[in-house]
Amino acid sequence: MSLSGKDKSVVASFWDKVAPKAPEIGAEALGRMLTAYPQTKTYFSHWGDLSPDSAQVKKHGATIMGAVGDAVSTIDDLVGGLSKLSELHASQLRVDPANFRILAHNIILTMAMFFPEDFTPEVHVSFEKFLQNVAWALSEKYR
Amino acid sequence: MVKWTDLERSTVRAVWEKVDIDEIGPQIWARVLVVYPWTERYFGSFGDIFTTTAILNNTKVAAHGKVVLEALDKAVKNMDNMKRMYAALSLLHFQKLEVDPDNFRLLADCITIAIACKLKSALTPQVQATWQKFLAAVVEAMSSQYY
Repeated sequence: MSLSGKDKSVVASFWDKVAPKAPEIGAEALGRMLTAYPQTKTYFSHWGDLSPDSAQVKKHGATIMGAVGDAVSTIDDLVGGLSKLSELHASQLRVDPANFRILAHNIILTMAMFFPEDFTPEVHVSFEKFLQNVAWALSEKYR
Repeated sequence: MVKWTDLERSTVRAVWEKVDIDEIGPQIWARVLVVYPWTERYFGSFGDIFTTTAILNNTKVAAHGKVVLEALDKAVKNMDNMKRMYAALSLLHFQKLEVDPDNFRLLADCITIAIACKLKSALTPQVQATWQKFLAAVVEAMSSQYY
């Protein structure tokens, strides 16, 4: 399900709206993922506090959304743009790629919460496709 | 059988109380058809559902959204009995409607997103977790008669 020209422009203009809140969205999404999908906690056992309010969760959520923002700017070549992150996730972090979908769901839900009027079905479908393509690019180096 | 704590029961009811079936039903169904267009395969009798504008204006889509939420209302009121309660509906979706049960999961996600738009921060992470546990039980019950 590759990104059409329309998907790319929808994603770019929606990102312009949400970018100022990106760190907050990331923190919220990661906190929700750890709460609603407890199996994802297995990747973060080295953090003391996995609650949505924890400083580590907030910081890492912001880091993740920073990378999503970078992906928006390399939307024409996600595999190239995410190559180093893919290497990291494949060889060091070894996150089961099924979890990318879980995180994407929580990012989408958080965006819907923060921007309910803007997150129309059309924006939803393009942004979900975009995150799916990000996940695909992130899995590129796995095997 | 899924076990529910008193807190989980009251959480699910509290979320559901805020849902206006007439308002949210049509939104959810439109979202499913727009975001997961392969679901169009099940709605040949609905007329034009092939563009976003058509979907958003289609009265059959809106009506079906309400039908589905009315069925979900039964689950909210019968959390301990979902499998038995949905047995006939599950069989219908399998034998007659021939719906791939993965679509129940997609629908559940769209329901949660629509509720997130409405409830905003009232849908806390813990409430989200409980609500999603409830929908997962519904999805399981709806998939239970497939053989």
